[in-house]
Amino acid sequence: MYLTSATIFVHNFKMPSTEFSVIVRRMPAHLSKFCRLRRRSYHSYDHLPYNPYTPSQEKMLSSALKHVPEYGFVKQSLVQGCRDAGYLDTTHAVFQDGVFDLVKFHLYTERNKLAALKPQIDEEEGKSIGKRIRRYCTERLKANEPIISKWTEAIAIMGLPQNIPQSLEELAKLSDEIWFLVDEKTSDFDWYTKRASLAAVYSSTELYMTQDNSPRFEKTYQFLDRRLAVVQNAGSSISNMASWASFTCFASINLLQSQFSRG
Amino acid sequence: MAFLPRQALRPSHFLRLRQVVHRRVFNVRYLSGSAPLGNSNAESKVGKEQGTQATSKTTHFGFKDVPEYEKEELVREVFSSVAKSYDVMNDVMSFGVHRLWKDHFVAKLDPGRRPGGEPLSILDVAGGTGDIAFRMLDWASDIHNDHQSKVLVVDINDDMLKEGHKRSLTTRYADGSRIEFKVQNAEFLDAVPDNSQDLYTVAFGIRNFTNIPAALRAAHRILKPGGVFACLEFSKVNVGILDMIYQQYSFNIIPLMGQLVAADRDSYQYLVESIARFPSQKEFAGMIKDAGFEISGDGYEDLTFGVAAIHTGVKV
Repeated sequence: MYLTSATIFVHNFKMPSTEFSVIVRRMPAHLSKFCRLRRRSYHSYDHLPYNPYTPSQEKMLSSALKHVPEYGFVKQSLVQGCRDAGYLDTTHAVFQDGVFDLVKFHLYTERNKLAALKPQIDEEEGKSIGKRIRRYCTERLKANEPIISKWTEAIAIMGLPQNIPQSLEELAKLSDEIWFLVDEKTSDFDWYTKRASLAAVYSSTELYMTQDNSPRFEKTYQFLDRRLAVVQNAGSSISNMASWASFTCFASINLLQSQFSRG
Repeated sequence: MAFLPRQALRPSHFLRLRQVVHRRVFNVRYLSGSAPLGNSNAESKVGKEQGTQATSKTTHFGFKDVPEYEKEELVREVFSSVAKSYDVMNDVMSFGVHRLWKDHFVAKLDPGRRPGGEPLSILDVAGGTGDIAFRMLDWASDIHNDHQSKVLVVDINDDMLKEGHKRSLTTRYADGSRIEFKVQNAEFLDAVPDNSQDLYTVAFGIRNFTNIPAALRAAHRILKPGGVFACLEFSKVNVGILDMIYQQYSFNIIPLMGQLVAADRDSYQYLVESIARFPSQKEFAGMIKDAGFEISGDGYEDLTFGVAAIHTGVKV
């Protein structure tokens, strides 16, 4: 109970609210050049979350997202967003990656909204990890529904060579976020395989969703269920395989040792 | 005293410029009283007195230290001497890549009046020959069909502005309704009112400013809220091996090319030294933030592995 309330307490800090943002420990100047800036692609209790957007940028980008269903992920949405926020037509030039900044903002805000759903999802789905992961994935996919008609443009922008490292980082962060919110506590190599498999499931489902015309995206969620089932089966069959292989190995060695000792 | 010849530049003029530059620089050096050059005894004594007053306010001119009040004049002389062959030298030094950098700079800023918006007012600082100004006007006219946005080109050097004006007469902006040339000091920008410009650009000029923070504050003053500060400048190469090659090229080959093509080794020596003295990308982004601008992400974009970089900031 204490742990749950502690995690909820931390989750409140994870919201991108402007009052709590950017309290980051600063390294001494002579050491900071040896380590990357305090960006990381996993959740951490020791470092407060890093909000890369200033309040005015958040205002501009969130207004720009409202224009995406009409214009798409193009410069015009960004210009309209800057105008709506009360700035000039030239202000879009400050965004270093142009329209990719708009895509990243969407990914960032939707990822951060998942933490607020934790109490509700924990109550409704109980202890089952599979069900809770499915819930988080569906909630995240629902957030794409307003702009799904233009999402293929965003995928194309994310696939540009100069943008690929940041796109993969966002996917990794989403996967880590979901696994963190289901309170998984692995500390061996499974930490990586779990996140990699969830990232693959989520990205393939998102791609499927761009081509889905079914009412309320039912086919997408069925596709998600199938992908998650494959991962779970693969996960258990691989660990069964590993158990069988290790047992067979040790049993054979013991047998041979007993043969030799008999002389 | 240096003179700025208006007639055709001859090798003897460059010889005189070199003498002037050396004399001014060495006067400051010989503060300790060691023997000065030839016939400049009287000047050196005066220099010593001035020097002791001015040691508290020196700045760098390439790798040499000069009093602040002198740097402006020295920079003006450098650019007067290179004005005519400026573009040829840029092409030779960067193998034409500077054109790509400038094109990318303008494409990134994407200036132009949008449907439902107002015509833009752009200030191009230290843009004497008008490279960036013409590119911006062409972009606005051709891409956005905007025939009303204006550019004000300012520079500390009248010769460079005259070059730019001469060049504008061969373009479609010859009537002067969309482009204007003025002599201004970037640290003050006296003739530019507060909160009046949409865009402030400076391409390959800011490293020559005596007081960069003052220039950034002046930029902040004259921009409208929402206006963008954009700076294209040489910067630090971020890949170790390439950096070594680049340093060798800069300090060995460029002054030699200056000597061969323009018969002016010293000006190009100053240019490469000023590049080396300019702060790194992150430091400069910090200076931009200190002047009151807001940056996005790191605040800069590297071009050609960091040989050049574009810094942008917005006034909010």
